[in-house]
Amino acid sequence: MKRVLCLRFCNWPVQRLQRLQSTDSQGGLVSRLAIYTAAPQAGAAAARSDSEQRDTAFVRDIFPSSRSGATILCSSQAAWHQGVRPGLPLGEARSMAAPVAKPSAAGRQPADTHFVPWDPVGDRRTLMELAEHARMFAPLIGLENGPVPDSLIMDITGCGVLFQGETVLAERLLKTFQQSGWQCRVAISDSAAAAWAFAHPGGHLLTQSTGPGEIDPRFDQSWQADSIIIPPGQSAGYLGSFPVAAGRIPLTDVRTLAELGIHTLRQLLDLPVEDLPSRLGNTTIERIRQLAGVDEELIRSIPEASPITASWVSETGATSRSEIRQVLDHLTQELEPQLRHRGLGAIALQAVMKHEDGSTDTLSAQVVSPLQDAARLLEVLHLRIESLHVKRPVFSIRMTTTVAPLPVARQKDLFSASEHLEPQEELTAVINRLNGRLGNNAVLTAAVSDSSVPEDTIQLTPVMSETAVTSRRTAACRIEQLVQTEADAADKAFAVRPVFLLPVPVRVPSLKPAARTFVWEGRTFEMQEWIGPERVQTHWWQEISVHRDYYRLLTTQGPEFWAFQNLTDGTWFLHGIFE
Amino acid sequence: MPATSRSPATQPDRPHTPPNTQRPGNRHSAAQQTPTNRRSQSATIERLRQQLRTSVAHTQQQDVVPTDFVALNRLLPDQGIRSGSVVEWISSGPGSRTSTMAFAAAGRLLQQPGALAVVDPLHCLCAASLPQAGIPLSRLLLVRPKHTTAESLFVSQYRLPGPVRSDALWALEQLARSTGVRVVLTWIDRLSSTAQRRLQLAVERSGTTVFLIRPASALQQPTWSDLRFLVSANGSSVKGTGAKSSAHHTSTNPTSQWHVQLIRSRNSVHSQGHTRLECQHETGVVSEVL
Repeated sequence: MKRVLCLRFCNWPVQRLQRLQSTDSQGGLVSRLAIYTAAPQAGAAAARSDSEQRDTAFVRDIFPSSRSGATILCSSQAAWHQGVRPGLPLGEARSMAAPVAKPSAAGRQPADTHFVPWDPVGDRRTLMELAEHARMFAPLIGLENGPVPDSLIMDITGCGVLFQGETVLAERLLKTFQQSGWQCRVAISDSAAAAWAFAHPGGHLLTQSTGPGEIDPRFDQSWQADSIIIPPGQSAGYLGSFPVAAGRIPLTDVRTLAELGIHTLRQLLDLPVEDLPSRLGNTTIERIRQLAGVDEELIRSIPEASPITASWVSETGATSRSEIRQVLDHLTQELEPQLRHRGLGAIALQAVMKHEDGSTDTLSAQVVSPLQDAARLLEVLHLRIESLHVKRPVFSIRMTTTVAPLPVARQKDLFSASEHLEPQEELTAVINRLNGRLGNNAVLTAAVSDSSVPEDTIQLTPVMSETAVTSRRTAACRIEQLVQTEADAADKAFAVRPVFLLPVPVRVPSLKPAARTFVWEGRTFEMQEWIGPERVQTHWWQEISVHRDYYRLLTTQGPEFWAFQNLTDGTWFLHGIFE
Repeated sequence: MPATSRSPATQPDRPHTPPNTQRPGNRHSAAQQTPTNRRSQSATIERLRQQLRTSVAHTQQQDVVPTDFVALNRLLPDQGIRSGSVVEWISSGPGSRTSTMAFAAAGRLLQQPGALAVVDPLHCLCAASLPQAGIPLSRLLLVRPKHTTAESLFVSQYRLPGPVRSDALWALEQLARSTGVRVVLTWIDRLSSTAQRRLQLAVERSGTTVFLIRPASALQQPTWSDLRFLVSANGSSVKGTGAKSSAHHTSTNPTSQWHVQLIRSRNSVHSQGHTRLECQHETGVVSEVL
């Protein structure tokens, strides 16, 4: 099962600036600090990036006063106690923070409150830099998918065993950052949406009703611990009591839901999904589907600061497949020591080949589990090279890798290195090779879908998807299931189906119950017996309407067909063969 | 001189070679054999086979998986299908239910760890039919090489275009070499002796069982398989009342029946005869006809 970790940095914009200011002044942390948004300026919006514009729009939605003037966004605990609260106009906040206390006996004045303009770009950039320190804990790390992020989302599926369990992983991760002076919390759950909710039970940082560091009285104290680990499959049960805001629902929809008397995630998730689009925005629908586990949230990986690469440049150019193969062999062997040095494995190789005119061709190969060994990486890469058509000379090749932590090393058998390989490891190796030569879409696993239409009853999924990097761990789980002997209980409820199903139903005009024969693929078949019908139809609310009566059609020549009548227009189709 | 060094003439265990011993390449050998000699040779061959079976029995016994069909097991030299073997299922013609039979046999083999890999070059396998054969979908690894031809499998009789054939054969061998795969199944018409020998070596190393579903034309080709079955349709029957011809009806208990005949067994003298099986239309359950 997928496991996702949310690493939340408490009161992030303030915490970042406090550390920045202390670094500059070489003193302790600035205790009284407040961040404000600048007053809107004409023409400034065009110069901002998309993410910055989204962050600004989010802030203005929460704090209407920020549309007309500078407004406090967030403040440190000390400033909060002074009365400097989010949403307060800057001028008012300054007057609130003016020191009224008399000098102490030692003659020292109370520290001033620092008012610092908000830097959303700096906040994002620093978060991304911090991701480098978490690389050893997860192969895939991304920023939280939303405005004004304060968290890193990490795909830790299968990583728990590397740290003797997720508890130790969380502890070590926290320790890594806390030793550097960062205040953070960790939540581990089955999805990014759930992990974020457990790390932010009160909702987004800017919508908190309590001050920094204060305990929210709405929640049990255990929900406000530094580390929250939800066992697999139990997220939905715990999430139910959380407020709607914990689901990253946009503020406008939170207000709409509140007007409807919906305050908790359980109430929200119990609503009929079909009716929601008419009442709520697309983002809210997306969040609900992610929380319910219907959709998987894509974690956009933060690029590595120093990727593992190898390059080759030549003035003469490589003109044949064998020459390119030699170069790629050489580059892969250059990558191996880099991987070994960092203790990582490659899960994907990408070779960008540049031609004389500057155009490029890309050759990529993926493997299911991380590999360090150049020979095994080359084995997969060679299969891809076979399908390469070299039409023009290649003058430079740059090879990059996507890396992941290596799986746990086991002691091999005393006499044979391969004797004690697990079946899934063998299967992983063969899937790597199959993917290398046939392409990722040629190697599939099957799962039952919720469709009643025969051609869609089984969902075939590539073991390794071309696009989704997050599928790597899922692939490993699928491979593990392939070799296990426990039967899937869901399989037992199937109706009888033919072994062969035509890719699309074939309309046969001569196929009619009243006729004695019909012609298909140039052959005439004499109909002997019809057995059925089995009615297959979709629900009225489904987009694709299917109304069919299926029959098993026996012929005197031997073949048994699976035919159906389309109840909408009465036409007959062949759809399968019992062979 | 060491005590063990003897001249060949004095070695007591050296078998005596009779003057009329037939050697390979002797063109008159067949004509010169008498019925007595032939019986003697058969007895010798059978004795050697027995010795071979005995010598490897302890390693093979645990790897033999009986099928769900007792009568079929009786036909098999090991009373079941041995791991690391190549099994051919020859279809006598369309509608023989060869694939249904092969999947039914494969289902039992999956009681041991490992995946069922199906190389489906025709892109026509209906995975929803597998649970009826006792195959969990979670164990299915489907390999579909690129297939561009529009010709249906029914007409082509598993005849594959060149590039698809080479990809399918390559995938078949790769899967047969993997110990993570319990059974590999595919449909293929022609198979060269080289390809068959490679498959045989692959499965002997890995213990994977290969099921090849082939058309009747394969009977004309040499084979290296361990077992070769011929599956032929025996028509359909309707038990009880309600059977009608050329008309819609709801049958009470209709079945499809077929014969399975073992026509080759590599390691032993196989039992003569065949068995008859049936598949209930309503449940998809395959059982023996008693």
